[in-house]
Amino acid sequence: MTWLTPTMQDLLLDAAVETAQMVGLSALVAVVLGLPLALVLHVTGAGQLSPNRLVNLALGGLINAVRSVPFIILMVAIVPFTRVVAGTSIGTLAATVPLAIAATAFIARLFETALREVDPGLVEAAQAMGATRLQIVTRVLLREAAPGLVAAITVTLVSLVGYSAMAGAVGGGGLGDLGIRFGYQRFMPAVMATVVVLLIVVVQLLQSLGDLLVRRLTRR
Amino acid sequence: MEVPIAAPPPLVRLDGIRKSYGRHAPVLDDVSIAVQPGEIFGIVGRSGAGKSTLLRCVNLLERPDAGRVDVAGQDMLALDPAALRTARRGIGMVFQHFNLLSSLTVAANIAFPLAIAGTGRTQQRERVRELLGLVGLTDKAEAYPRQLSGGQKQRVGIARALASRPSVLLCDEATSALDPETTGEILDLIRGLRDRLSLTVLLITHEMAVVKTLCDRVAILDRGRLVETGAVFDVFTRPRSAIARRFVAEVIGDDVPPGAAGRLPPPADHEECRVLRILFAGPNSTRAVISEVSRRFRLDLNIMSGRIDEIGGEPFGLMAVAAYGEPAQIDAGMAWMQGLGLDVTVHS
Ligand SMILES: Nc1ncnc2c1ncn2[C@@H]1O[C@H](COP(=O)(O)OP(=O)(O)O)[C@@H](O)[C@H]1O
Ligand SMILES: [Mg+2]
Repeated sequence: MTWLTPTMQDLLLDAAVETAQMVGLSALVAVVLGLPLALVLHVTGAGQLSPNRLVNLALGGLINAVRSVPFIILMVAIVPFTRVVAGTSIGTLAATVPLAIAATAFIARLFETALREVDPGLVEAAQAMGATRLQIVTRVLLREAAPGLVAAITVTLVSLVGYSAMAGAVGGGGLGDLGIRFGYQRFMPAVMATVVVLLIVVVQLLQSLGDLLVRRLTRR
Repeated sequence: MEVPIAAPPPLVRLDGIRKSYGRHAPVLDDVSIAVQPGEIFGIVGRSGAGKSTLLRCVNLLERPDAGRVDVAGQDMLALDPAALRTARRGIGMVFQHFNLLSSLTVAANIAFPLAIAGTGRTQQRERVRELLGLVGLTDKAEAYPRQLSGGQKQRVGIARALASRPSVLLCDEATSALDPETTGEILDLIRGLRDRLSLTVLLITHEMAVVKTLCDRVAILDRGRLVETGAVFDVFTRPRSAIARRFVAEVIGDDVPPGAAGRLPPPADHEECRVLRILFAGPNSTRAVISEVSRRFRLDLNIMSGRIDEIGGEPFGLMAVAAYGEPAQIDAGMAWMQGLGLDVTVHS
């Protein structure tokens, strides 16, 4: 382990923290923005609580558009926007902006799918009891979809770990970036291997944690 | 001074209900029913006849294209959204697939209508305990729906529907997902609740057996139109429409076994063979009448089928006989039996 010098240890630690920042922050933004988007998308669907074809098509189209742009292009394309939001176009925070946008579109679709899995009979039963639309959303849709929503967050977190490796392109740092710079460009396969193993462990942990939570929430 | 006893106003009145989806044939075509307070009213029809749509028009889960909906004297179609939500609390609904929230315990499911109405926690707990007792599930309060059998789930569904003390209970195929034994238990429960809580029940089903054991009155819906409405006993013993006869036959069997009429021996010269359907409602003895009519009118009577049954505690006998004899004698025999209060018709 001659390569694991104190300097390299610092680099690895810094990179891990950067990855955690990028993934954590963009996932947080994605959940906060994605959930209302998914709810609007869901309730405006045909035969749902507040059908609205125009809003539904517009929002669905926007989400699809964002999702179909390759991440590396999205990152470059929104640089002006990133500069406004993050104050800079390079660095960890700057990389978080495109990550958050891509993750929001991604998770909104996954959330919507989870909401659609809720038996429409439950909504109907609540309507028959005189529930308001807000009550139906909070007490029926969100509650019954909770396991699916958590599963969607898990999938998003895992995907974000992968995407964050691309953040090196805008100087975002992180584990993936470290692996490329030292492992590939400076030909230190041990660094590359360490990074890969670390990423695998992180992904496994996230997935197991998510699965555990889903099981806890599932009463079916 | 004599005060005329007026019939109470119906608790649920649907008048001239029409509904269609797109340009298809109408799902409901000018349907009118009136459900009296305290009665169990059944609507039967084949799958796709429009039963669920009709039932959903009562609490306006479905808005009719035309017609009037009155529940407990309220013109439902005139209510604004908030008033409609309040009115819906007075109308309980039970579903074929129970529609319980899988994420909530039995107690929380039953409390759900109270929770959304803003009832206090203590009151909720109190009412849930009452309701659990009412449907016989006191020991299942903390269970989750997936841990229950179908019959138990429907008991929860019924308890939930009754939580806000509604005056009307709507049941959409409440027993269609259950086995026959459990169906019987749930039907008993519904009847018991009606008696104890003086509920009014409007149920829909495709099973005539449910109507026979539970309902007071029945309406038959066929392709969106009401073809027959009446007391269950009358519809079972004297069905007027072809479709009513088919539904009745499902439960109490056909009057004349298919093909039996074709196997009858031909009548002698100057004689005729007529298949008669004889209905005995009440205490008349079947056999004495048959042998007496045979003697009096010199008729040969060939019994093709016969059964004694009971609807709503009222016994009746139904018999199909092939009568051989002179036409005038058969006419006279029929008239004589009718004179005794029997219902005699010629089977076509
Ligand atoms: N939302 C809807 N859109 C289009 N057609 C519908 C809708 N709901 C019901 N129908 C049609 O109306 C008819 C009656 O349906 P329903 O009331 O569910 O019948 P039943 O309960 O007697 O089986 C069916 O042909 C069904 O396909
Ligand atoms: Mg139906």
